[in-house]
Amino acid sequence: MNAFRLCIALLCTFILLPSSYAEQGYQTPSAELAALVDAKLAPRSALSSNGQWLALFERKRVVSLDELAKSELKLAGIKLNPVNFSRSRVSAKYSAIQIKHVETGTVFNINNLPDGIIRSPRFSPDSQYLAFVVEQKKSANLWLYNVNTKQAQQLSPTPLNSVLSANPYKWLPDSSAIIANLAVNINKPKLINNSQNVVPVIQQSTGEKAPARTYQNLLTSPFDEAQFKFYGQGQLAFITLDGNTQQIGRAGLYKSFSISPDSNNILVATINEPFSYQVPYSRFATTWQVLGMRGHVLAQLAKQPLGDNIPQGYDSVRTGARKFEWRADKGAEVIWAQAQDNGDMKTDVPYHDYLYSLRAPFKREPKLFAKVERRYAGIEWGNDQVAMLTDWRFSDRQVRTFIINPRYADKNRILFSERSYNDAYNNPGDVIYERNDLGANVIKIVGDRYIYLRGNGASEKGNIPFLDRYDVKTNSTKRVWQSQAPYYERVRALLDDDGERFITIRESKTEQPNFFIRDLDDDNLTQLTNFEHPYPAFKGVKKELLRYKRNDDVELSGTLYLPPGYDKTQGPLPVLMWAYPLEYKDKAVASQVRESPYEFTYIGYWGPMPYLAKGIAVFDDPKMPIVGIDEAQPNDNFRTQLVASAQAAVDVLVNKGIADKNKIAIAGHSYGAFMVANLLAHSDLFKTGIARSGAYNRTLTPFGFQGEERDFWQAQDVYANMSPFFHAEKINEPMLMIHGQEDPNSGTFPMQSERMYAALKGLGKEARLVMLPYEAHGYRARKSLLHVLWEQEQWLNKYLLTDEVQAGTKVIEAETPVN
Amino acid sequence: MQSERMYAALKGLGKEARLVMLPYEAHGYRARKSLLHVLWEQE
Repeated sequence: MNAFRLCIALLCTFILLPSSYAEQGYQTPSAELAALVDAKLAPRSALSSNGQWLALFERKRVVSLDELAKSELKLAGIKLNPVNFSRSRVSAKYSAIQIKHVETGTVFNINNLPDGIIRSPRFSPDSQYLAFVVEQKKSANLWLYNVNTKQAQQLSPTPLNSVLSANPYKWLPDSSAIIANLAVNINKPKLINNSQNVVPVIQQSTGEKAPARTYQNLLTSPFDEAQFKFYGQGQLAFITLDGNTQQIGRAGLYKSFSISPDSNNILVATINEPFSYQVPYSRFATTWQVLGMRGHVLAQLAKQPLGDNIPQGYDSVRTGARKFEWRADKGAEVIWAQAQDNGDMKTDVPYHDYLYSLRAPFKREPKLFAKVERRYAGIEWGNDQVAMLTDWRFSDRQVRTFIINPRYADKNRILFSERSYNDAYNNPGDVIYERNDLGANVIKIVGDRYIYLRGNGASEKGNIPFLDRYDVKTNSTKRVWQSQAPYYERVRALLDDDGERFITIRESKTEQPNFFIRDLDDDNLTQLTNFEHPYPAFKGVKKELLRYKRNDDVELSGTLYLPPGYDKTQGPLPVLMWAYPLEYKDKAVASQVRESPYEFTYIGYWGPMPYLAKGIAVFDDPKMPIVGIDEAQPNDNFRTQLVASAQAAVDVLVNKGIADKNKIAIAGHSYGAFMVANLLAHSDLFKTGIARSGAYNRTLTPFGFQGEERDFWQAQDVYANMSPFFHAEKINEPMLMIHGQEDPNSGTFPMQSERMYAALKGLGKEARLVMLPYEAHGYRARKSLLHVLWEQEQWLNKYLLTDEVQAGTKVIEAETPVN
Repeated sequence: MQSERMYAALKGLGKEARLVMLPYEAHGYRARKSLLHVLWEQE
């Protein structure tokens, strides 16, 4: 009997051999997909404030695995490189700088930089210099480029500290010097943890509510605390343009520093103990002071306690003084806010915030500057008669901006704008800034009355960017210029006071973005740059904005891309949909179109676009709005609305004859991955799904997530309904999951994918899990990106492009690529 | 993680709780230092 059973068992193993991929290690996709990872996109730019110099920074988007594998410390929410005292994984990093003279178009390259990463470039306020940081293996140093001599050199040999102060230097508004934060401990021996130092890790809560998002990379032990102090310790220094360096004050844990417009004072925030194991460094106890340029303390403004008991709610804030900043329109006056509602918008008070001011020499009592009815969102400063004050609240997403006279900030306010912050159609645009006589950044106000605004111009017809001129005296706006089809052109900077000459970035579906100078007076357009098309192989891709409705009349839209050379006579295509659900409190706002049909067709390696090369049509960003009106919260009907949105997207494609309803795949990243698992569990619309870096079990984010403010105990049903983990048994289509092993995002721990995979495997579903070594929430290493493209290509080949389905075959495995 | 998350939940909800994580220890505690400390915590 036993031998017989053994025989059958062996036989069964043979028949049920999983048809898994035999390959081990990092793979590379087909050539056209691989080329996308290395494609060169338009550089980032910065314009000097006098409009004469356009600095172009070549983006370094992709790194080597070695760079990610470098030793990295995670302390209090910061990921840092302990060798050079810089933050690891900074996204804005560059490999080269070019300076273009706007009037003549002449280009100057900076050729003498050492091997390293360029970060934080900033023109001096007087436009004569470009400062930047060069980060190398052992240190990060400050460099200076002189636009007159066209020479660049290292300004200071002393390494900078970006661990706490992410921006390690600031220009004085008068451009005479730079204040920088130096890495005082960089040459000291590193701290060692041995079991002599090890102690039990203890936390105690005393009965005060203290909900915290599930932050990652927090401090976990007294040794972590010692490390935090060691790497965070900084020293402010005054560095003149010839490199002369003077220390300012004592060493300390400098979180931020900013210089008053009159270049005489520094507003400084330093972190104090006790540290916390529940919240990141940004909420640690902080002392705010004003220092003079030699380091003496001119004023102690506040000692903020640890912020671990801020009430739940997106518009909740700490009590006591907060949001310190210099007024940009005065020489040296500090402004801050103080909540009048215990930090909680649910408290019923006439004014939720008061604003206070204190002017140099900081000896008098602070004055009450303004009363703010809702939660204070900030002030934009212009001159001593015009400023713009904004308040908001989360409950109805309303944001309001008022024109105020800073001399009498409570009187005669003009309501400039009032809308839901999700309402793109009524967004008045962003105010244009300029440097004033002190070198401070202020709202550009012409003739004491005109303010310029540039915006996306979202409308029923798509985004049509604009330039507007607002008249403070008459409270009216005039449209100065607007982008014209078939181009998508947006204002980058003004070159004059009349709004007639300005720099734009212009693109079309087939022409990639370039810089232009537009002159309305002469009615001409001068091309400033000539960047090459980044992926000529995809030039023939056709794109179309589709508009359609959901079963509850919410209007939806999405962009359809068709592979080069496709025409309708070929019949329907397999389709890859890529989406991300968003929450709204208003149906009309949820229905808004948020892109332009004339935008350049980007083929990023990140999303669905590469698969156009496989003859797959892509339906990008079909809207999945989750709406909750009045008392109802959006997520109360999450599943119904999600499935309805997906159904509408599938229907419009099938009705147009583009898609075969049996050959549609759904994919997404982060909340998009969460969406994919939900759609596979609660609908049969899709053949297969790809879910990257998602969260599937919402009990692991119990104090709110995404747009959901309620905690798990207040809304257990909602959390359970929305968690695909709880419904894993309903997932009947194969799902590919990918996740970075070092993902610190507060919702999407690697464990989310590991546990979801374990659930699917245990339930006998078809799934594949790929964990990427060293990667965080966005994948950065070239090897990882190529492998992800390959995984997705193999998956789509198998489940979307192949017609045969091998009966009884299950693909069940997990794999971690080995370098 | 079970204790860490339960503690975070109780703290977030404003309950009285104390969490002690013992370095190096598995499901049964073995080190003399750990055992002495546990007895002290409970006392």
